[in-house]
Amino acid sequence: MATASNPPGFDEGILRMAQAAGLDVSDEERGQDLARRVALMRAGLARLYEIDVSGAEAPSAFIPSADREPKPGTGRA
Amino acid sequence: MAGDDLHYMSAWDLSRLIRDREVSPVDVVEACLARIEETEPTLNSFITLMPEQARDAARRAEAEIGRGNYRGPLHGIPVGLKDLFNTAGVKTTSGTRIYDNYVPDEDCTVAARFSQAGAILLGKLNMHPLAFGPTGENGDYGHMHNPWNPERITGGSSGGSGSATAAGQCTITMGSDTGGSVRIPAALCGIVGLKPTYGRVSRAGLTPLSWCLDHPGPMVRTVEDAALTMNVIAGHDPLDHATSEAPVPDYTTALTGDIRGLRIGVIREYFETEIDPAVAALTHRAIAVLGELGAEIVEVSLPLYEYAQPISNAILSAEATAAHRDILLSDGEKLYPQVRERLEEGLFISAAEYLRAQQARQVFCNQVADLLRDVDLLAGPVEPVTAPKILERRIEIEGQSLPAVPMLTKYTRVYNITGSPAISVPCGFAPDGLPAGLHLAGRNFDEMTVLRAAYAYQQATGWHAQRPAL
Repeated sequence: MATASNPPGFDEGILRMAQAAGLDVSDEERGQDLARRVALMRAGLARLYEIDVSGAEAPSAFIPSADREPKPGTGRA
Repeated sequence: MAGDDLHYMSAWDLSRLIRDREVSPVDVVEACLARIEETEPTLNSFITLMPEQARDAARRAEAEIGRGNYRGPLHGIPVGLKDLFNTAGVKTTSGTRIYDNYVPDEDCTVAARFSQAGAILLGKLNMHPLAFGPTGENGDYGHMHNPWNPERITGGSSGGSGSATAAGQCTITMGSDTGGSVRIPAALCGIVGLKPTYGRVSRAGLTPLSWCLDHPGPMVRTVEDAALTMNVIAGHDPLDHATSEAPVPDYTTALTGDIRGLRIGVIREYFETEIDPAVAALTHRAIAVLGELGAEIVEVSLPLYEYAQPISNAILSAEATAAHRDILLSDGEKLYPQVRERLEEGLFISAAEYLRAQQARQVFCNQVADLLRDVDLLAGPVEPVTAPKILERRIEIEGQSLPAVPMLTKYTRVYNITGSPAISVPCGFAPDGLPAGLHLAGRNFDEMTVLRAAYAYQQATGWHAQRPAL
C-alpha cells in the first residue's frame, strides 16, 4: 500500500524484492511492516547524498593506515 | 585475605599478590565463583559458566607460579569472554540458540593470547544476539540486567561483559564494538571500556557483525587493567589481515597521571542534540576536571556529525546482512525479532549505496583527522541518558519521546567509522542513581594518550571505586 511519502507501487516493489531475496512475506501484516521499515531505512540512506564525496575513494576494504596491506593467503576465520 | 575482597580487586593489584604468592589463583577464582553464585540469578551475565575448568586452571597456575614460572600480570587472573569469541572445546553461541551446538576446534586469537598469559577463563558471557543491538536483550538466554538497577538494561551488545565486570563476577572481560558495544555497556554499568584502534587487536575467530567496523576491546574496572589487558591482546596477527604490524608499546607506561599540556577538544555538536541535562552536566564537570588537571580544553566543531548514523547504518546493515544472510533465510524465525528485522532491512541496500557510504566515511574520517591535528583528544558523553528500562523502545528526554536504539549509539558510532581508539571511563551518577561515562577518543594507534587522560581522570575522581548494592 502506497503512503504519502512513498511513490505508488513502493510497497509492492519491496515485497517482490523480498520474495526474490528468499524472505517469506506471505503474511500481509508482516509484509506491510517490512515495507514500512524499509521505507524508513531508505530515508536514512538518502541522506548520504547530501555529503560532497568528490575525490573520495570507496575502498573495497577499510585500511586506515598505510602500513597495512591485505596479505595473500591470510584472512579471518 | 578475605575472599569477598578478591572478587572486586583489580588485576593490577591481584597480579602483585599472585606474583609474590600472597594470594593463590585458586582463592581468586573461588571468590569470583562465589560472587557469581550470589549475583547471577539477578544479573544473567553468563551463557556458559565453566567452574570446574576454571578451578583446574587455577590449580595449574598456582603450581606453575609455585615453581617460579610466573608468566606475567594476567597469570591467574579470572576472565570472561563475550560469547562470540571462539573457544576451543567450549560452545560459542553468538547469543542465539541457532548456534547452541557450535563448539569451535580452536581458540580465537584473543582467547589464545589470554591462555598464553596464564589468564583463567571463567565462562562465556551473554550478549545481544549476533551482537546486533545496543540494549543487552536476549530472548534465547534471557535479558541481561544492570547491577545498579536490575530493572534497567546493561546496554549492549556486550551486556554480560558489562554486568559481570561491574558486579565483580570477573576481573577482566572482553567485548566487541561495532557501533558502541564495548563503550555503551561500560558507560551504563559504570566500568571502563576501551575500543582500541581498528587493527590493533585481532578479530580472528570472532563472529563478525561488520568486518570493517568490528573492534574487540577490554571491559574492566580500572584504566590500569585496560592497559594490562592491551599489553596481552594487542598486536599483529597473521590470521587477521587488518591488524597492524606497528610495534605495541607497554601501555602501562601511559599511566603517569600527568596530562599537563594536552589539548582536548569538546565537539560542540554533541551537546546540540538531545541529551539528558543530568548526563550533560556530569560530562561537562568531567571535562572541567581534565582542565583542572592541566589539560587545555577547547571547543571544536564536527559539522558532519549529523551524518554519523546514516553512514554507520548503511555500512553496518549491509555487512551484517552479508555475514548472516544464510541463517536469516534458513532460521529467520528463530532469531530475536528485532535482530531478524534489522537483517531483513540490510537486503534492501544496494551495492552503490553501500559504496556511497564508504565514500562518505572517508570524508567523515578526514574531518575528524583534521580535528585531531589540532587537539590530542576529543571528549564528550558516551550516552545521552543513563540506562533505560529493559524492553523500553522509546526514551524520554525533556518531554521528547525518542527511539532508544539510535539514541544509544549516537555518540559511539563516530569512532567506529573513524577506527579511532575510544574509551568510556566512569564519570559519576545521575539523580536516578545510575552511572554515566566520559568518552575520550584519540588519534589512530594512540591508545597511550587515551589511557593517559583516562587514568588521570580516574585517579582524580574515584568514580571507578563505587560498587553496586547487590
